[in-house]
Amino acid sequence: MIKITNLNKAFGNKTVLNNIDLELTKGKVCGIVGENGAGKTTLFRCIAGLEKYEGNIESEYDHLKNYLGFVQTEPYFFSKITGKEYLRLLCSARKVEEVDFDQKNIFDLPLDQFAQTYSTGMKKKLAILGILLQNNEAFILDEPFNGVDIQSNLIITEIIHKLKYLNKTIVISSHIFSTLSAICDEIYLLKEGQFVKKVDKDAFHLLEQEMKEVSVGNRVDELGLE
Amino acid sequence: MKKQYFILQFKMLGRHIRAFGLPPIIGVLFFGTLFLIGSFFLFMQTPFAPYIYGVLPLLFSTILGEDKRNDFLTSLVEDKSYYSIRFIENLLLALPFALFLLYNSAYLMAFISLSASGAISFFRFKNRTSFVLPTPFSKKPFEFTVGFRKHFAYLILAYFIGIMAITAGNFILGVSALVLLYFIMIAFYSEPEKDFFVWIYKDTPQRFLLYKIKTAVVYSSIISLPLTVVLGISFPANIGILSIIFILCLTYLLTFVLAKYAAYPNRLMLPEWLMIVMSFWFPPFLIFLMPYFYKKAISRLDLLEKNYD
Repeated sequence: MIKITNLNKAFGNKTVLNNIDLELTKGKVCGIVGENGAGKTTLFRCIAGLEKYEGNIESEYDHLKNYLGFVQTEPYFFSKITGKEYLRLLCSARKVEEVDFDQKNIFDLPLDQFAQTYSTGMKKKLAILGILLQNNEAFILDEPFNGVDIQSNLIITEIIHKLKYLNKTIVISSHIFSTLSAICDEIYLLKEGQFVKKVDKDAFHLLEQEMKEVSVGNRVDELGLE
Repeated sequence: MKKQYFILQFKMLGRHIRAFGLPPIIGVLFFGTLFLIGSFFLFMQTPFAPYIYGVLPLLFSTILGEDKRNDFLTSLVEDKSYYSIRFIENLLLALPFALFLLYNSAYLMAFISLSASGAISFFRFKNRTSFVLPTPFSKKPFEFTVGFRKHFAYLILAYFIGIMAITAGNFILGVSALVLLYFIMIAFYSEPEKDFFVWIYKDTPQRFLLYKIKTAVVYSSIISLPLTVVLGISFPANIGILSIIFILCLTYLLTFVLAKYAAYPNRLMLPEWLMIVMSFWFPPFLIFLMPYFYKKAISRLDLLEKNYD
């Protein structure tokens, strides 16, 4: 379990996260939705400890980051490193040795090619595969479906179900509401650095409707397309 | 557009120098002086210096010809302006080397270097090549895996100089090749990696640093030992001094590894550079410098580690 209380984060004068309380439970998938710039990525970076923050993040682990797999919105890859070398780097950093990367390559990625030459979706899949091979206990997945093809989308959804079954802690963000509603147990709506709503599974459709009304409204009409 | 582009380039250069910790004008003077001192030293040490100065601008020009950068540039300006921008850039880059060659009466090399640099502006160097150069360093990515592939041409150049030194019976040049090899390997550690790649390690700062040091020692030896051994066999009378230089080079490499994490997540700044330059001037200073960088690196990594918990 990861318990976040009264989390605040500011960049200079700009408050990015304001009074965040969140409890991530084992065996549950928590979804975070919000517009661009709402603070999702900053929240994830704070949980991972990649950003300094005010407030409290507690977990059952002595060093949470050693049990945490983090897929970032735009995973970074060194310019001359192959997919397999990237996986090896991630695994050896967590002392996971002797992995048969070819056998574990469920996304059929060209692991002997440079990761930087991969498409957006392939990069995302490589990053996901990397954190899965690290044998983590908790997972932060920031936009895991971005740029990923439909087949792999299905595989990732299945993976998340499996992780949930294995009692792992999972927090995930996505712009694609339908994917979130299919895998999450609860969804938090983040707006201007604050959680403005928490919705359980049975009310996801109401949240989707509300988000559509708030986000889209009559903006398209204002364009006056002819 | 051309004018705006170069104004922007100079502004960016100024910002880089400022980020290094110097006002731009002082920075230009500082690096200019450094270039002159290095050049005089090189030309005093070896008769092959004109060849090295002929080739170096070409190698640097390949960086400006990098594919992604040029994709952006072509999308920005029309073809004619693009080629003239690239041409001027390459000439500006080659100019200091050419001027020094002219000063040393190496007219032909100066002409070849300038014209080849100009000609190279019409070529692009695909960084996104699908060819994966095999390395013996894949087991422990990333510094040597990436560095070896990125700087392969420079490594070959260093070995070429080494071979020339042996055929010419010039021990000083051979040592220069070895030193060049280590300078290239030091460049592998020039960029601080993204925080994610420190964050992933399940290690205390001490163990993390030890791992980085061990990797640097083993992998740099794989690259440099063949040349060192061949130099030792070719110049048996100088084996003592060769061993000292080898150990010193390795020590400087480790100093840079420590300095990198002493400044992390920033790049090396002026104070660190000054201390390093001082140690080049007076190597025994390393006895104090290495533990200093080590302690600073531990406290830097410790701060990050506390952040992670």
